Amino acid sequence: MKLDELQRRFAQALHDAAAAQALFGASAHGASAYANNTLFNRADALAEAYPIVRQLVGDDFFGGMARAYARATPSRSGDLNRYGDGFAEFIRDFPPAQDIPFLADAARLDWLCHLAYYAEDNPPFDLPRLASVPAEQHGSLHFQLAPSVSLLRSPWPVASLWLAHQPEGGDFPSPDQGGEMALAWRNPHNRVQVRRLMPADHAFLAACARQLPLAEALECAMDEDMEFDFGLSLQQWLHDQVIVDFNESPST
Amino acid sequence: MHTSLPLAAGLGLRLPHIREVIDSRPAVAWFEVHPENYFGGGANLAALRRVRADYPLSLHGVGMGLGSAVGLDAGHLARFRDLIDALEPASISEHLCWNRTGEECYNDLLPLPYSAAALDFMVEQLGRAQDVLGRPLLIENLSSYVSLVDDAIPEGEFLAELSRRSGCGLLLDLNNLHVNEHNLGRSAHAALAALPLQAVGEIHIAGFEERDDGLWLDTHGTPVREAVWDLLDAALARFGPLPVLLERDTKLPPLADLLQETSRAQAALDRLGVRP
Repeated sequence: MKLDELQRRFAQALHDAAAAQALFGASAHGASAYANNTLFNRADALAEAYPIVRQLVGDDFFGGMARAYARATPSRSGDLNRYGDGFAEFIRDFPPAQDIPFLADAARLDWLCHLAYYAEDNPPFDLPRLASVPAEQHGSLHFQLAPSVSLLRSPWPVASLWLAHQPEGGDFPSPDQGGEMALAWRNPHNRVQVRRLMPADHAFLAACARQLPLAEALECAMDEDMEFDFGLSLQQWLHDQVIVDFNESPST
Repeated sequence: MHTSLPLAAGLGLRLPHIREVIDSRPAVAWFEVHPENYFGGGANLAALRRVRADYPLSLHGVGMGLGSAVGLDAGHLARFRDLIDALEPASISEHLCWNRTGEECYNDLLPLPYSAAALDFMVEQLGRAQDVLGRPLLIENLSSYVSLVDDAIPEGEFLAELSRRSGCGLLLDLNNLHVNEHNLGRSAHAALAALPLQAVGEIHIAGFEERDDGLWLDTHGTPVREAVWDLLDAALARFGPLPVLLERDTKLPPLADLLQETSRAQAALDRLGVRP
């Protein structure tokens, strides 16, 4: 039997007793060990990647939902830390989860934090290099966000919800207190953080993510809030390694 | 030699123990980790760099699926290579297995048939992988829960031939031989006898668990069984002193318990008259 055919039949045999019997003979009962490993390895990976969702629904409900996703959704990589990027959409459509309407957005933020945890390292911002750029050229600079940075806009208070689940606490938000914009990233101490953003801050960082030059990014922020204090926000983003570099032309 | 690991007992280091290892620097000759947990950057990699500063390190991959008929995952190999460049490990290793079809990755160590065609294919894939990684791999024998109708070559001879033709070293997992003997009736001692003396670069020992129907599961979830300690003595008598690694992946006990168990492996090496 050709190897590719054998491996396709092996995959089928994980869920098909007759196929297992044909391929494995007297050892066919062992096939269930692989089916079990595959299912639980995926579910365990989801439990690691979605800690807030798991706390919101409890381990039993989470396990059932994770296994339902794992049965329906193939893994594509030998690295299980890359498994689970569609879990939020699955939760949105998962009938038993409809009692918690903000669960899918909590999952979105969990996934962005998971990506931030494993994102590539980056060198710190080169302040002397920025100081050497003449002031009249600042408007055409393209600020670069750290590889760990993600932005999320939600109709639910997702940033406050995330913060309420951290050891240092934070008040548990009322789900109907209104939407939030969240920033997820990894700080200089390698800790994943979430911060609630004001609309102007969100507009500025989203413009940077779209590779707009500083002058246009500032316009986006001012459209949201004429009082936007760019100097103060920039200082914080440089300190927290949210913005980590700049280019004189858009990066590809 | 396929590795520069010390001829001494090492311990499989899992993320829950890494902080304690950095803080207490226990007396272990070397550590081995799964590279997939350190792909990308961030806290895990930063912690592993600190471990690497104090100990020889082995990167033991579980996700490459070298024998997958669809071919190698170039992205996965590139991330493995990046980690090798970042950490300069004393050894790199993977498994004699496959894990993917064109549609799906199974994130498990699935057995290949021990056939001439599978051997040819593995030699080819291993050659490509070693070219990308820039150095030879150690390849580990699998625990398997099924025999395949295509199996024709005894396990030990398959591994010996794979090493001879691809230039890879062998990572001899004694618990896997023991589990296969129970599950599939393959003789562990026959496998030991079939392996060429120079090919083996590392030994693994671990524990397994019994399923209700009598199948033994290679969970690395218990201490090493006495029969595997006996196999260790037999293997060291045949191959001479080698790096010996204790693996524990599930039901993780306190680090101190694993250090204690690692010292028993060191004692087995010491009986040969070897010092780390």
